[in-house]
Amino acid sequence: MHSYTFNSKTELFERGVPKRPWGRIGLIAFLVVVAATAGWELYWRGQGYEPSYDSTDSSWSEFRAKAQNAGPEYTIITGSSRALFDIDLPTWRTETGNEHLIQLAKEGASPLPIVRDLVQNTNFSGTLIVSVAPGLFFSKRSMHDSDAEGLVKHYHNWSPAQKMEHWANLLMEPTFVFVEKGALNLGNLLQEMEMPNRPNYLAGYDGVPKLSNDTRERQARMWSKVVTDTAYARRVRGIWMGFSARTGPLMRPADYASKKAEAVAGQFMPMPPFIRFTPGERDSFFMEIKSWTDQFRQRGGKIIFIRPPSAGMLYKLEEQSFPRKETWDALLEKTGVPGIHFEDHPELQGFELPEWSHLRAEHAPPFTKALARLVVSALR
Amino acid sequence: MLFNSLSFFFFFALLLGLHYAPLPWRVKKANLLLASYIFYAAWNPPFVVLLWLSTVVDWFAAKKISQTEEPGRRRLFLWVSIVLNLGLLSYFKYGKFLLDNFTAIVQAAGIDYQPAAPDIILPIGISFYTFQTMAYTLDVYLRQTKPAGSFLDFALFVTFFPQLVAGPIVRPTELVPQFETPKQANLQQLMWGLGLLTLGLFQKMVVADTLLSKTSDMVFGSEQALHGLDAWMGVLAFSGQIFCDFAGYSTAAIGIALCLGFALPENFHCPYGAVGFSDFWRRWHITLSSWLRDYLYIPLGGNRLGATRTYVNLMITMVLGGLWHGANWTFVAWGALHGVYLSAERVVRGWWGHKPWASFPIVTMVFAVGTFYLIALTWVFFRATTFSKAGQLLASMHGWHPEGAQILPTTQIILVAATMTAMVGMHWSMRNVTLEAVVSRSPAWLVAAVWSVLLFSLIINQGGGNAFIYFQF
Repeated sequence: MHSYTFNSKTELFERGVPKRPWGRIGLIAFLVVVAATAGWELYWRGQGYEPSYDSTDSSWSEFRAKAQNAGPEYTIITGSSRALFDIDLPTWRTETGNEHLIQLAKEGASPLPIVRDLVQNTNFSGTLIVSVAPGLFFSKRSMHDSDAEGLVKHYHNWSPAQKMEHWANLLMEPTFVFVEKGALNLGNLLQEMEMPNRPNYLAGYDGVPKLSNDTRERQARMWSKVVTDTAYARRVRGIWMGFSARTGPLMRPADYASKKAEAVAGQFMPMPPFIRFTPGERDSFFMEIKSWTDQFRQRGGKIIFIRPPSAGMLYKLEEQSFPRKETWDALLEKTGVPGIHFEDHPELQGFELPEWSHLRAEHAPPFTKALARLVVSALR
Repeated sequence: MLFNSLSFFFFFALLLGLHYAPLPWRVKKANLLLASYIFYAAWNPPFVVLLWLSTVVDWFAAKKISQTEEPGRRRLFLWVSIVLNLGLLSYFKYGKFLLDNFTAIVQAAGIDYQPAAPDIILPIGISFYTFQTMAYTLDVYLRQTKPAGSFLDFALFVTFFPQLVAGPIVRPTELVPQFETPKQANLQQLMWGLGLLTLGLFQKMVVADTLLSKTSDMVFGSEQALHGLDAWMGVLAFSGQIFCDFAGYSTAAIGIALCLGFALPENFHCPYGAVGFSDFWRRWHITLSSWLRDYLYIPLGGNRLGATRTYVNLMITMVLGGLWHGANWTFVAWGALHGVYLSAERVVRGWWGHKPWASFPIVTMVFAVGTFYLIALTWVFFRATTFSKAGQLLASMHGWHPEGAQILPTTQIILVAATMTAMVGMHWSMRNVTLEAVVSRSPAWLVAAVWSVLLFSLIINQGGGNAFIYFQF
């Protein structure tokens, strides 16, 4: 049975087409889909969603491309999600009087492969601000963090097709809510369906739910639901504390939930040994960072580390697993790079972190204002 | 550029506008050719040079072959084409594989040899367009077709973007004549083409990527021995994923070409409704299996040289077919298994094929289920990256790890079970009928409703634009 044939008169290969009123069918399908999509969009707006830019490898690559030929007047920020949430870019510009700012932080990623890339693959000699989240920065995996190395690789192999797709997405993202690839993707919505599992079912670990709406220049503003919905904020805190509750690649969900609950309540274990350095490993880690920072400073660049705030049990977990003296203080001492730790500056304290890791959107501008003054002063 | 991307939507809309503008046919063909190069270059611009090289060499080789009756010269130009095409394919696709195996052999002989790791990037779709251009030269050599009348038509045949990177693999007799005279789709063809494009994208984006890929990735990526249910769900999920990924691309390609007024051949027809393995290969990747039959199996002697040679020819054809899919011994095992199946089927048909009970519906059903089961086993080798992983999964599937890890949540088990039941049921019920015939018999409101559901699910499924699995082949 074939749906194609050779036309015996013309010897041309042809395909059969079902004889249906296609004009009418197409029009009805079009109208139904437009109406359904409009309903879908309105439904999610009613649920508190707003248009947001997606944080993708391509959106990072777009700004990494700007960094390639950035002059010495530029400031580049890199780090993990705390740099995205806590540093308000318009406030930074106002406070420093410098419009030339590039945000290259990436949620869940170590900044080190990005710093290495900027030092080794550009001639950038402006100001580099490196935000430090202890669990990601002082981890055995941070030097070769696969997410960050993946980003760098994506930029260096950024194909025209990926660029075109990025620009096409930018046409949709500021207008429509339903195009958000994270929370509102059909696959994620299906996975959210809760059903009872088998008694011996072993689960992987939680993904991070929607936390922010992101701006065109890659600033994350905390989603209002994280602030107003305490159960949602508790869930996110549990996810952060779950990093210390893991005992293997997979766990029974009930065991994991109870360990997370214990951790949230303060009965946590330090981060597992596969994350923490031995003293010898830590020294060579710092020496490698020093080799890059020296190289960067020798060509005229200015670099500074910043440690944004964390709160609650997450702060305590970070302090227990990555004691400041052995990590932050040692980093500054071994590299000779200046640093600003929120604990040392009262003006960087007292802000609200609803899920213990990031500032709520309204608190990012005053935090940034204080931080910018300190950074300018430290680098003067 | 991926069909399942927003950028392709804009690209195709622009191209359709140009194709239906009042321009001379030659200009429209030039537009199509330029668009095809842009489509291909969007992945990696320098690799367009390979396309040009293949196009120019095959154009001249075929021309030279057709201009002479001298067997030696004809053979010489045929070999120029074969060496160039297979040489490029071998270098880019099999270079690392050959080097790895050579190194392993040398090291096994006690020689300390460690070559530098080759940094070879596989040009996307090279296996597809290599076979397509080779078919042209071979057909001219075998006097199955005359050389194309114009270089533009031939270049477009090699490069035609809908099927360039993942098939269907088109024969020159099917496509080159279509470029000779002005072609435009009428409203019926345009709408049916858009319908096929929607169906193809639904197969890929919703069924393969959303409903099945996560389960398949979890099971094949697991380092633990798995419980039987999890292993089976993973293998079933991959069986559905590989079909919907590849058939989805082919369906979309056929639809896109039809929107422009061109006909491409069917590449899949309800393979999971197959009864026996020769039936399966008449339904699965039809254009590749017919290519291998016409240009490899038959020239090797096919079934004309006695039983033993027939089995040897089958094995050679299927093993090379496996290797075509990827440079790994697991693909060779996949092809070899199919060769064994096809050979065994010939034996069994010799014994039972003529028995009256062999055509009873219940027997047919049993054979269909057996075929599906054995095909599912082959997918284990296709998807697993190592033989130990494949062995571990096969053991789990057959009850050797009753205490194995249970890693799939109920939601995913239900999604896979429901999807695969629906898919196999549809393949069985449509095994002797075309999609066109089914749609012709359906009421217009139902066709509109199904189209709306497919399209809406695509819109709400927007995701990361995953590449098609077959792009890597």
